[in-house]
Amino acid sequence: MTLVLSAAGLGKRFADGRGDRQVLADLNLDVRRGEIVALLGPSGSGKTTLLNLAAGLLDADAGQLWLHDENGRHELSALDVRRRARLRRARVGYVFQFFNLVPTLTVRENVLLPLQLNRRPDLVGRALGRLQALGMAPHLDAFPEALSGGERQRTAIARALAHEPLLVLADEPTGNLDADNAVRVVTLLWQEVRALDSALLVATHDERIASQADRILRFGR
Amino acid sequence: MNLLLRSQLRFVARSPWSALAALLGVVLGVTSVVAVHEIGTRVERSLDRVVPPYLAYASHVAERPGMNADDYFALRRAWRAGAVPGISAMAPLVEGQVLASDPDGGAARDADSSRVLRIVGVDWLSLPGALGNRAGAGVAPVTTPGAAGANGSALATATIAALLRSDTVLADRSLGLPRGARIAVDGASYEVVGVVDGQSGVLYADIGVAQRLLGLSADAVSMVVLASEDPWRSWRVLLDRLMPGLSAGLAAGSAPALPGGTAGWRVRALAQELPSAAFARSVLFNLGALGTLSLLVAWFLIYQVAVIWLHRQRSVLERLDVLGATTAELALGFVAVFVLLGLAATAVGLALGLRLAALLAQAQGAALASAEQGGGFDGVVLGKALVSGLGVCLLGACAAFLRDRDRLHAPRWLAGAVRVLAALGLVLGLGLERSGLAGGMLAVLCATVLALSLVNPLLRLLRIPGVRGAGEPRGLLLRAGLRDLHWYPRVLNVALGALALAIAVSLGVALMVASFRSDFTGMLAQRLDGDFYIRGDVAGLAAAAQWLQGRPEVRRVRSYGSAAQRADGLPVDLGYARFDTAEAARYGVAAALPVGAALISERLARTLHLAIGETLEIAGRRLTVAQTFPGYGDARPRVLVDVATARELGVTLQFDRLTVDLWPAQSQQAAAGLAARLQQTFPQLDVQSQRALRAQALAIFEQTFAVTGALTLLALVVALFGIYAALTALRLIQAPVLRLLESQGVSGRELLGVTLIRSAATGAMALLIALPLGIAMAWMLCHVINPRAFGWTLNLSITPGALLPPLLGGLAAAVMAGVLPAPRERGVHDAAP
Repeated sequence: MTLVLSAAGLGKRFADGRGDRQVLADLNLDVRRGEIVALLGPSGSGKTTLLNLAAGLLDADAGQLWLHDENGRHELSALDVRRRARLRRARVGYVFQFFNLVPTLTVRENVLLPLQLNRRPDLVGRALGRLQALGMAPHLDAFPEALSGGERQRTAIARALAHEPLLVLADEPTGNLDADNAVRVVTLLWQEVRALDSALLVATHDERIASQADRILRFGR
Repeated sequence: MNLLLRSQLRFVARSPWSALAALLGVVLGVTSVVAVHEIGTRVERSLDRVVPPYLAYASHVAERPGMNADDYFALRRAWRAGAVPGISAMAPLVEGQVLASDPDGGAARDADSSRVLRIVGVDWLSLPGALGNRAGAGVAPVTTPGAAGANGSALATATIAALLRSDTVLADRSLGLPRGARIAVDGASYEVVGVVDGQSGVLYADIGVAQRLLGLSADAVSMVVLASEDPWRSWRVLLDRLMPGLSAGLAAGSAPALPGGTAGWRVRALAQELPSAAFARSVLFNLGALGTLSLLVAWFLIYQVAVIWLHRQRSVLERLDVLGATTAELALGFVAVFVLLGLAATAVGLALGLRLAALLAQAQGAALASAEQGGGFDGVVLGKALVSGLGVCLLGACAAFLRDRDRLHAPRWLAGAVRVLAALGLVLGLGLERSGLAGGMLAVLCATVLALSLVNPLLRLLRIPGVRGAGEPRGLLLRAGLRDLHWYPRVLNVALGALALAIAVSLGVALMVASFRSDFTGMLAQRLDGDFYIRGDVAGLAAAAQWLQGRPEVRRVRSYGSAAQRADGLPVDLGYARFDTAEAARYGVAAALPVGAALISERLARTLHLAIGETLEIAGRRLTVAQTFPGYGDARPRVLVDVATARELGVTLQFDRLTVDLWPAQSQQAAAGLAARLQQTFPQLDVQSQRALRAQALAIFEQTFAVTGALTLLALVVALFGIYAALTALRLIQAPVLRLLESQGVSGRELLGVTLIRSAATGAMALLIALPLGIAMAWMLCHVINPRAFGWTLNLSITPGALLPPLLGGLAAAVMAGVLPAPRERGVHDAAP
């Protein structure tokens, strides 16, 4: 399978009130298309940090991290902020635990936002179709404040996949949901990612969710 | 220490920049209030000094055409019989002019050692308090307490006793006659028994002495001074203590009604008798209004800082709520910090205000500086500083806290009621001439309230419709950015209102100043159209005129003089000159001014409700109004007549100014050479080129309005801070959205673009409100405030030069506020990642 994300000797430290703290150290990783990798570990173990590094939102302190596409591999720390943003908007989809949607855009507009950013009007029909498949048809013109937690996460999934990215990053996507909604959202996310043949890196502390992934990467404090 | 307060204090320590901004805002407000109070008090004291002694207890003066002692005694009998209610004292008065000489040293003054003096004679014994006369017991001087004394308004008993002799007079300080000096009139000599600060060029005497000095019969009386019981007096004094000059903004109380048997009396308020003092008090009122504006600015700063601090601490406050802290406890901790800020700012503002007032007084010259000696630090200013500093902080912090906690709900009907009241206030303020300067200011305030009530409806208009269908998505970031303005009106509306107000004030003032400059420049070009202007003693000027008329380069020499007179009983400056076609043209009159015609200042026309073609009475003769003229800067109303008319009015002509016109072919050098020769020949005269005078007048004009310009610029800077604080609060609310957009690959440049457009939209909304409001303010300043305060109207001219800078400045402020980085202060959201 085609490589999407790879890391070699990746390290990241944070300074806080207690001094310097090593969050990631010497991490090596390969993620391929169609693969679902669960990052399992307690809070503060570095799961979100890895996702943010993969999205190019943070700079690594040590090692290298590459994002691979049809143009070759891109070492994220070698790119400036602007190029990283361009690469992220085209190749990455991100789902957060909460506050996933722009509150001043409707459901439809939130999902269309990545297509506008990537100038991909050709994908509008498919993105809206996916939104309907996720059960959001009645809420297309609603603002996020009018949605339930589950509906918001389904919209966030539709938004993360709208531009059909190579890599989807999900940070505790069900952490804010009840058990039934959590199962439903995870199932949908898995289905859609597999349908697109994208790679999924999902951070969770839930063993049941992690067990459904192709591979588990365990993080400890 | 209370832990909640401790937590708040630590938060402030982590927010040094916003704390400093808040502190500076309140310091600015307190400094303005203290400085305005101090300057106002000094001006009031110096004004008291120009109140002539016979008016120290007066509230009105009354006169009737051709009146004599019989009229006075008839009125007095009616008063004693109880037919003139509300009057506590009355005294007869005569006035007129004489040619006097100074037997001791007159030669040094004039070639013929004589000069025209104004004589005022009063029955001092009828005045309240004189020589134990208790007729007016309980009647306090109408002027500010503390100003009485031999050198103040009311005369000392010993001075009055000395005045009752048959050969004594009291001299105004401007005459330069020391105590003990003698002055001769018609061969009789009079001793100066005291010197007072009052009206320029006046000798005061007992009524009998004055009648003799003026060559009048013993039953001559010019007018009657009335002291009325003003039921509102204590309120007026209190208002003036609160804000010096405030009572001048209120309409004058109604004149006492004189009984039917004394029909034909004209009664005038003291303000009309002392036009220069009324003029100065109007200036004071405007100063006071500016001081109040600075407090409003300070409140706004505090409010915005409180809003931003509340946003930064939102999660902490929510957690404390969960822990069981009551709203009152949270409010107390939050507001206590602002109280401490207010105390610190009050101390600094008080010190700065006193210092500023001292410097300004020093710059304004001896009158205000010497007024300081009578005053010193008073408790009122300390109280005002404390109330201003603490009040602003308390009100700002409480308003922000209550709004944040959703406790500040105004019922829907209240907004409607406020609009209706504002509309009513606007109509009354503009329509009721009697509402005076305060009515004009009320109209400005009401127009502002009405305009600012449009802020929320405008924000609501930004309900941008959602994208429909499956077309190509466009402008989603922009939509989101603009919808922020619609979604968070509570964060933005106060700042937006303040920005609109700042732009409107800048615009209104800029248009008014530009209109004033245009009219003033026109007036200067018309009036100062000659080449030289010469001032000096009468004899010197006469010799200079003769010298000049023999020069080939001189086309014309014009002589001017003036005298104090009464027009329809009102004190005026009567100016006279040869009003040929050229001279009349300077005032917009096509033909030479005939005998019996007069030009009157707009202020006089307004006070006497006179139009062109109507008549007014001077020295028993009726003159026809041929034209009105603006008379900017004149402290007293003016009447201009031809010399022939002045002679008919019995005026002793004395020309104390000359203007010289050269033939047009004369070069600048030739003109300068002639001026130099003239000055050399007559060193005692003051020779100035009209061009230099014009430049000097314009420089003074610009200097006068420099403070106004600085204040309006300050308002814009504060508005910039306000809108910056509001947009920063919006950014704090939206920090998660920004992180989300960043995760979607939105670049910093794109985010900046959205921010810029959102800020520009904010600015545009402010402009939408500010443009009509600013023009309306300018119109009110030109056509309502100026006429009511100073008696002149300005022609409002709306020019791009005046219009664009405030508009562009406001827009730039809004855009800058959006682009400036958020302050790097460690708040509760800024924990390590």
